[in-house]
Amino acid sequence: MDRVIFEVFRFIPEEKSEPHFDRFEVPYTKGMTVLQGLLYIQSKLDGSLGLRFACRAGICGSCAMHINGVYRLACETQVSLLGEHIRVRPLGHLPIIKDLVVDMTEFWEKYKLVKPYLIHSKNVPEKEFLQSVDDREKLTRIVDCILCGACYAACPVVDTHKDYIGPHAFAKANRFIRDSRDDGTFERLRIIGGEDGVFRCHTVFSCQEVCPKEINASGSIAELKMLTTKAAFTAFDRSKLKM
Amino acid sequence: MLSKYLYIKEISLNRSINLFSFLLMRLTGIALSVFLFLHIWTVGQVQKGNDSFNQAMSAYNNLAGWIMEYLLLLAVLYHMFNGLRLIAADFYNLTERQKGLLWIVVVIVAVIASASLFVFFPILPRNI
Ligand code: SF4
Ligand code: FES
Repeated sequence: MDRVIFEVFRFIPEEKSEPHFDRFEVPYTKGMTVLQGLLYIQSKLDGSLGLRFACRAGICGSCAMHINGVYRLACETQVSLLGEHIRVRPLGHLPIIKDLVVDMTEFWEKYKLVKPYLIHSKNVPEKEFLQSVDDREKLTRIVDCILCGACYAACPVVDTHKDYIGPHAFAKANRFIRDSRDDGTFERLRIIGGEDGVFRCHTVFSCQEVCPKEINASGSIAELKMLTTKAAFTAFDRSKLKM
Repeated sequence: MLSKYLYIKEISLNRSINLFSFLLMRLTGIALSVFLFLHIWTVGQVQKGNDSFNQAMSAYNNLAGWIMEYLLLLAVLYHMFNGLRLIAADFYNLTERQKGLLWIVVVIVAVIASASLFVFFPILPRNI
């Protein structure tokens, strides 16, 4: 393989242009990622291509897009695994700003709903919170979420119900609820168990499938469903709610 | 509008077995709800007496009727076992095993469906 054909989604809503795919021929180099291919296009073939990236190492989460049928990170996807034809689209379910760049405002607004930070009601220690190894173990993997939005784009419920909070926020809520230093379970469950919360999930497992960090958002949602149900039966008795 | 609720675009963008199993769950669910009315109507004929009931029932006693009943069986089987799979995943912390569970569902449906072929299609030879 010495060259790769990239078909890239192009659309500028402001200019009311027709959404279409542009074709580019990119010389293949060993170890090339999809992001490198797109950057080649941007620097050598068409400077007007809009895309988002930062770390190029699967850490910042800004380069998630739809590549050959799957939502994934452009910087972590090897061209050699995809063959000579690569078709790239922006993340789904979010308004397009330009080409591959989407407006993530609603993604972040929904994220904020679940209070994605430690909440303390007990005495705050003078120096630092100590956490046992076992308690830290409960957070392994789930803390790795880089908020790339792949799960949000892949979830069919987000498409039919615009206010559905989304797997990214539920995984994060679960991460804080599991945290031994956090006392915010009760506050979060009110939102999570609400109309746009976990019970809208149709258990499709799309979020689990696409996550580049192998986070099981479906598992988080299942855990939260159980916890909300328990909470309803214990009439929101805070003391019984720690997992 | 309809295509949105049949997730046509979602499936074309995300061709994974997960979405197919979800769509099938939804379609079988709709089909079973529609069938319920047909069922109530047919059984309701009993109120008009023996003859009406027998006549209504005999309308299904032909190839088209057998095929419909067989498809109904497939729909019930898939909807039931996949429903159990989703409950198991949600309540017994089996979300990571969901793919394996799906294949178990497929195997169970296939086994019962093939064993039932002879029951649903009286024209097939009974003892092979
Ligand atoms: S859970 Fe996975 S797919 Fe979803 S935002 Fe986090 S890293 Fe991305
Ligand atoms: S550029 Fe940061 S995750 Fe891809």
